[in-house]
Amino acid sequence: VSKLPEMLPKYYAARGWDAGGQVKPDTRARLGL
Amino acid sequence: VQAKYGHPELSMTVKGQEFPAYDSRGIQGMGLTYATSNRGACHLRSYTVAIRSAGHPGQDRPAHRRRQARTGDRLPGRHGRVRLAGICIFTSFAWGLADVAPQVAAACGPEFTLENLSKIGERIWNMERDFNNRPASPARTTTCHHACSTNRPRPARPRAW
Repeated sequence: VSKLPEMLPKYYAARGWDAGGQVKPDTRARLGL
Repeated sequence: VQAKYGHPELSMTVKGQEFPAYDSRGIQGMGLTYATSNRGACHLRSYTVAIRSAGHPGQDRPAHRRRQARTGDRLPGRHGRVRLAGICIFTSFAWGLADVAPQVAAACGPEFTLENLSKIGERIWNMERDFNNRPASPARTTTCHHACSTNRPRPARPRAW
């Protein structure tokens, strides 16, 4: 029933996060964080 | 409460916040919303069910789940922009960012363009995520308990009351 294993990697990639859900350095740099 | 009585696995929560109305076993995009919301199982941080209820074909096919994963990417930023404007979230049913931006610009300055508001919304979402990811944060997990994360099927049809 749960599709999270399928959806989460795509979501993380779309957000610019790594496979563990951490904000990637280049995403942080792009947003000026 | 479930932990107090020895069954934390029965807790239908994310980060300690209970699920709102939407059963993520049937509305998979809301499962993604609950799992990734920075404050727990919240339908005000992303609202993928709105996209679904708008009537996309093939909603239960894998292609639709991929679309919901992408939709989940856009909606938190959109809701972040509504939050930064300090306006009621219900306006998002009628207004897009193009409607909100000139109002914020009129109140706060011309630098609050459509593009800048979009970036601000994304910054909010990522800063909250960064905060939650700190080692000492109790909100580090991206997990749904129970129904969202187990393979217990939903009932074949809703119960009538």
